[in-house]
Amino acid sequence: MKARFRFVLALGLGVLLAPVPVGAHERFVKHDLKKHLHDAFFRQQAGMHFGMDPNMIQIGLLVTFVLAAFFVFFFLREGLDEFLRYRILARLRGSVQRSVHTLACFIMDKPVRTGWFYALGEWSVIMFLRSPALVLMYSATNDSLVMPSYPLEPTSAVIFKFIQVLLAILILTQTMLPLCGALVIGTWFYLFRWGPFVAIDAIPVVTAGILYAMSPWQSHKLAITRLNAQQTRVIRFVFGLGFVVLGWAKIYNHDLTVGVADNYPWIMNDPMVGFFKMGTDPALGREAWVLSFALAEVMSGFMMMMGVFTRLWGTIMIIMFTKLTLVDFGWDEIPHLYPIGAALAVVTSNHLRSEFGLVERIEYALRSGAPAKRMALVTVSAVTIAFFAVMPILYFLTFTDRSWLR
Amino acid sequence: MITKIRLATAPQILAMSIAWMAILFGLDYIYNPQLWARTVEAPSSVVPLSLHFHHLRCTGCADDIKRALGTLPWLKDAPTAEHASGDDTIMGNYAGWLDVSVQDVSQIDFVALDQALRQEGYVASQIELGGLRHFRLEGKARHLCPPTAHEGCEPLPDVGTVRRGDRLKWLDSMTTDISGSTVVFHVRFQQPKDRIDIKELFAAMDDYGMYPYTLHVVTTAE
Repeated sequence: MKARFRFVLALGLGVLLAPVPVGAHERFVKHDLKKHLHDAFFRQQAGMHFGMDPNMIQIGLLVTFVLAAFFVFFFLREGLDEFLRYRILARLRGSVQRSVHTLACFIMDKPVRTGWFYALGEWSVIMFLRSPALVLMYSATNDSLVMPSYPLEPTSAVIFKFIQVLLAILILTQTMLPLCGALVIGTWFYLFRWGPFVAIDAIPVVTAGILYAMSPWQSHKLAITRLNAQQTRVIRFVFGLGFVVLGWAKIYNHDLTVGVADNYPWIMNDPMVGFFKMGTDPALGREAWVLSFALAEVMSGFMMMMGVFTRLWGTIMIIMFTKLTLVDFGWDEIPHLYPIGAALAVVTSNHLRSEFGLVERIEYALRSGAPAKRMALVTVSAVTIAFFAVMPILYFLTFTDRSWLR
Repeated sequence: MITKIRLATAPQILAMSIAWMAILFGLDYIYNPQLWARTVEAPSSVVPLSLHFHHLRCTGCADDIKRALGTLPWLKDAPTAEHASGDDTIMGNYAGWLDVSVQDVSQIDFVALDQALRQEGYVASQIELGGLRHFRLEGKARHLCPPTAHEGCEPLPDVGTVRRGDRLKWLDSMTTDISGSTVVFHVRFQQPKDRIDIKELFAAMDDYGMYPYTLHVVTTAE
């Protein structure tokens, strides 16, 4: 998990490698491929089950299993909460009891009703609302659009830089935020002009745009310090979607992914990724690493998108992005303020819901007298969701043509 | 006093977003026509090269400089002209520009040019090349770190660290070939009147500690 997000910005380079008509060269995170992968690993192979490499199937199923386990725990969390409350917390007293209860509520995505958490939530929303302006200003001073990895053409740089400064001023002064939202979203649409990978890379920017778009026109007269349930849901969904799509893009553009790892080899020592590639053919170690790394991102993004252990995954993301910015890459990673802000705002929201309310309602109905049915429902639901989140797209990707990436 | 909170509707946001996207595309189309061109403009083989010297207009200096340039086959019969502008025209200032019309761009070698001038005792303070829009500079060097190297050599620096202020604003990126013998400097798309100063690149290479033994202009597709 640790190093997974080192690639977030690097993926923008995928675009710079492929569909840009002029000047497609390395600009940001180094990704020179030092040793070629076995391309066949990622493609359809004759004589294999489903035409997929057995190592690929193994990793896919292991990720499916872990994802399903998280879903099972999530669907059973009310039962776990009862156990915690009546078997553990009942024996505790005072601040210890309150702390454990707060921690349990935090992990289980339940409202955390403490003053400090509420204050943190308010601050997070303000930070999420305004910090994109700093990144826009920083990009403008670095001849870039939205983030420093997207350099502007010199011929149009000045006008795009002034536009960003104007947008940053509107954001900082909280003026006409719905217009700011439209400008951010419209700019994101424009990024498709540079290829789909650039737009995928910039999805965290859209989360800020959504918040602006859902704010009142009289925003300059208001103190916006809370996200409502609808805002929380949309921002969480889009934020998670960004990671899911980035994860799949890593498999599709596997040379870029492993190229970054070739230049920063320590990121290959990630324990979770190591767990996913456990037992695979050592001769295909780098291929298995790319796949495990990408699927770990798909898994975490999918849980964020679906609202399953949102706070847990959001907190992990905040820590990782902060570390990348402050410790590993420094200023180059300053656009991480976008996802950090989004994750902070979501994590500190008390309006967290999952997208599987139906399963939760049925589970609740079965809780009183049908434990076998309840477990069957939870298990089947979890396995089905996890399987369809991972395996079909993994299978589909083995048919895709990557020749245009060369 | 706010009596009613007004929110934007989804169609409003969508319409504004699409309108803004269209504006950005429009700006892109107007200011970056090269990115929209379906056909690639054939590069000119004749290009202007301007050399700035602090002593060009001293007695006899221009002749010496032209003689030095004449030792290079690709500049032997090239038409030249001298001019002074800006501070160069101040009384007592003998600096000036020597404009050369290079007849075959593929023959240009900036390292050879620099060495020929130094041989004669002159150093150009600026070497400006124009007339090309999409091109790159390829240098041959002995001590490059190939992209496949794992350790034991220092890779090329990032473009961001090489640029200082306005220096090398025209440089898009740098790459080395797989053999580690060629370094390629990709030049950003140039406007018709734009010029790049090769001396900025020489200064950056001096900082890095790398000196190629050739530096050619390449206009063909990669």
